[in-house]
Amino acid sequence: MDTKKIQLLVDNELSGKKRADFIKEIKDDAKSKQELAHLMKIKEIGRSEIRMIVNTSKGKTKANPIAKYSLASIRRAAFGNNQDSAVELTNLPIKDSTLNDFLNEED
Amino acid sequence: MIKDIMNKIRSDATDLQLVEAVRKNNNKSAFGIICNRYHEDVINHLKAKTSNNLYLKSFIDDAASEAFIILWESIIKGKYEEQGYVKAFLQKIAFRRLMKMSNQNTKPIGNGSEINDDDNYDELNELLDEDPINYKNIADEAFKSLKQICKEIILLKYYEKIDDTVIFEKFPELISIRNVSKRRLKCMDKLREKSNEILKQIK
Repeated sequence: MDTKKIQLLVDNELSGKKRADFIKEIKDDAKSKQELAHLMKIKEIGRSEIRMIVNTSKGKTKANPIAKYSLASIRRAAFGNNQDSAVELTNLPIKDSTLNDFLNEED
Repeated sequence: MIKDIMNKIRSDATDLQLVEAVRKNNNKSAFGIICNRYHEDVINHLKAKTSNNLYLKSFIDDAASEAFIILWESIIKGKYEEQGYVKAFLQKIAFRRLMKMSNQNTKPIGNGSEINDDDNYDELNELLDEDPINYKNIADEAFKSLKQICKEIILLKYYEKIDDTVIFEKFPELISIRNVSKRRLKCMDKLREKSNEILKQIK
């Protein structure tokens, strides 16, 4: 079992025929597979630490403001064509004047 | 003292300075700043590229995270050659990763050609998954059984590629650099021993 070479494989430092041949060799060698599993586990744990840093940063980034109601749902609510929607005109989070402007706007 | 100064990194540092800090000291604060700076951009890029396709959308978060991991690994292995163009690198990798996640049939298997780091990782995992013996679980159990110092030394050396000299700075209780190397080899032997024990129990 060649730990150094397995580490090179895990680090993607082998290429071409060398890599293909070595993979074939490992396939039939239980000890090498076991060592590969160790080195892959180490990589996986290392990656999970980095993933935590990425996830922490995710929480810090500002979310894009997303409109709670689409224009289509406002239109349906406004014109009474909202059988499929729970959106009620009175529940819309917009000021009366804005709604009036919207309703009075010509298409 | 010098090390402390090098480890302190300003949030307004340039991408190039951040990449250098990661490369020289595996500086995780610097990497955190890169993540803060570009995570949203990468997500938005993927959303735009996939035209908000609902199926692809479900892979976006994972693809973005993978891109940052690949960036980290490229830098610490000295393979990152894009200089300051971190955002473009992340967007390119994240999109490639997204396409791969959403279409598992496009995997390249040991055909002798060059292979990306992420494809290499997937292929080696598949190689282990094919075996009736669950070597991955055995390795997991064996790793968990190690002492904390062993886990840390192993991770620093084999994942973060840190020299024994630098590991010694983190663990001065080991008294000498030579002891770091001895301890590391002992820890790896322990890992193998434990795996063998578990394997015997299974058989």
